[in-house]
Amino acid sequence: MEMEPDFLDRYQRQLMLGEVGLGGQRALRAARVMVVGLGGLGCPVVQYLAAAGVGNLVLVDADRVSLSNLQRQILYTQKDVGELKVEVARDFVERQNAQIQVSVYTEMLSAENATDLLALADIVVDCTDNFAARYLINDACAAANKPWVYGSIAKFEGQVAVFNALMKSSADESQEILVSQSSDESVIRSLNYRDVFPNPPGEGEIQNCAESGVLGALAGIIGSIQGMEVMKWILGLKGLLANQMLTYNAINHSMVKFQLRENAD
Amino acid sequence: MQVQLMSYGALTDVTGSEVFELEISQQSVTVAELKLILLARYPALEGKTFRIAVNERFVVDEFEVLPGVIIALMPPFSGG
Repeated sequence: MEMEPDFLDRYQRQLMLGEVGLGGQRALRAARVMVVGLGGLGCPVVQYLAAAGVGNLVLVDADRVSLSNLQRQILYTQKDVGELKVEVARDFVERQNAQIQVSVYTEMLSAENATDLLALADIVVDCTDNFAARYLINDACAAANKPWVYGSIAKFEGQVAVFNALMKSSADESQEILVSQSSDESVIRSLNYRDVFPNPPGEGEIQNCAESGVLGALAGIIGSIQGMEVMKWILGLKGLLANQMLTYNAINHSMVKFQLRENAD
Repeated sequence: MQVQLMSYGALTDVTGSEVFELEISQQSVTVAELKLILLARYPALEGKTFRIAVNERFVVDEFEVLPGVIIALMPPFSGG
């Protein structure tokens, strides 16, 4: 793939990482990432992926920017209030990094359009704020064999996990390695959201940010971790949060990685 | 026996604390039995969606809970 003439300068700080290098930068450039939901989590995801040179971004959100979004959705400014989030985000990305292809969809992800939209991406980032959308992403990604990066927040806490990623299993779980192509039988998919929470909670059981409140920086932290996991997946790095769920508490800064594979004995 | 209990998300509102020690009269219980003990102590857990982890690993109902372990009550989060 043809890289722009100034790419050595633009990406110098990450090209110097052995884990990235020229091959990694080309992988980032070729990658197609879909971000569903451009709120508190989606903003930092889009901003960091664009800055890092992820070449194709598919942005899905039906909402318009409101004044109450500005406290945590840091991609938007006061003059954007009333505008479609995906259009403001596209303009931002075009100013930030003109090499990136952005496609925007102002329809809500639905059972009807999920298959067609997912065909546009290699990996999906769930930045939604409701269970209906999250289970839809999970089931559509399971059907399409695509990995997705889950992130969600509740007051001062956050959760992040990578679901449905191709993994090559080994006796020692910590040695699990990520693979991009399923070419042999030892390759399996990491757990998905329904393996952890088989069914959505009851209506109104779990509050979202509009109902329980949130400080904007937490959305930035959790969204940034999601962006990191996307880049690790593209680069094929170890330590992906597959079969694990990271929890973060912003009050005491504790982070715990829960192993999702059940152990019955 | 005594175990340490940690609750996450909105379940902290139900248990009243993020971390506390839980005294159980038996020396070992299954996770299914632990759920009944927790329900008796915190009736507001009834109908709530959450998973139980023991020492940072999610477990099934048959898993045996032993003295000194760390129990986590983990609900799904919604916000984004």
